[in-house]
Amino acid sequence: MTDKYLEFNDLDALIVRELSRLPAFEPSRGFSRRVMAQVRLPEPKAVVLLRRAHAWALQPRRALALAGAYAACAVVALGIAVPWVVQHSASLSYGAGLAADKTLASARELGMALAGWVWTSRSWDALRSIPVLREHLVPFLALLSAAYAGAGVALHRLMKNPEGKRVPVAR
Amino acid sequence: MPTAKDLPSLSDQEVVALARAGKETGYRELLRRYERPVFSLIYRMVRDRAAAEDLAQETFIKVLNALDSYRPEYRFSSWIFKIANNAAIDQLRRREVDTLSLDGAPNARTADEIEATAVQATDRGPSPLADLESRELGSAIEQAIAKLRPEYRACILLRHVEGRAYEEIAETLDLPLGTVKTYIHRARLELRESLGHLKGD
Repeated sequence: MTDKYLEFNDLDALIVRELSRLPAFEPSRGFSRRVMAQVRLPEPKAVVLLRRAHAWALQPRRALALAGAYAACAVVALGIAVPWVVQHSASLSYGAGLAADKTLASARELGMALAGWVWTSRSWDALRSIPVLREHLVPFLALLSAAYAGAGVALHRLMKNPEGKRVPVAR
Repeated sequence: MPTAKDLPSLSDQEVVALARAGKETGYRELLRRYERPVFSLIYRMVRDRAAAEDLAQETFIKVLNALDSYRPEYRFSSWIFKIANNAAIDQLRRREVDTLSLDGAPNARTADEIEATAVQATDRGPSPLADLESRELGSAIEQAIAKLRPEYRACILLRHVEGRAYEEIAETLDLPLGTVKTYIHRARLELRESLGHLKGD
């Protein structure tokens, strides 16, 4: 090794040069994945605000205040709306009648178009030709009713206030 | 908002801003830019691959989870190297304490207790660093760096291996600029002494 570097008179320059040439070491595979698994990525601001609002409203006193404010707003809105409706009842009933007439006319046109289509395309005949037996229809309806009831129960459980250990902790 | 294609051309500060805005690509870019320099610095400081990997991981988790506290008027590289260097120094201090316990727990009284609590040092075979050291000049320099005091080692690695400016090293290591220059000067003197055999007489 000594002979190889005889041409370098300035050892300091050689050391500095070789230091800058030292290779960079690389961590093992999966290093960045392991790091990223432990990094808390910031949530979007809307989610953070919603979570804070939810945590804030979870306290009974605040929930009561919110409900009170909601009721007060409703009373105020009614207090403003009812006199206004009474005052403008004539023009309102005329507008409502006009809107109802237009809606009925549109519905009638749509019904006529649908009936025409069913008649000309013979869809009704095709529907009647499906061999549905009474013994098939009853279990199908029973199953449908059970699924509907199950969905209702699931929705009820989902909407129920959390209790015990499932109550989220406000941070 | 910059796209993923623009990332390599962005400054560290811009990438940090991107990460702070909740973009995961910003975090990944910071990791990509610094995983090798940070790991190399720690590895050359502690000279143990497994420990270096743990410490580098710890450094990145600490830095990336505290991006909100980063002040953009400072260099990001100074911040991350400071945390990496502190982690390495702490590890070296812990290792000094652990070295004392190789001969058994301090409260062990009888010969059996001493034997039971003693750590058996085993030869784990050549490490990647040892592989590198088998190469002539590179190996001699790596060995000479390993003999330096930790503070000299950090200074010389940051200056000549990572190519950082004196001011940045001072910022990174929380040292006065004059002290950094002195440390680097002394480290180079010690390296000259260690590597004196390379020079033709």
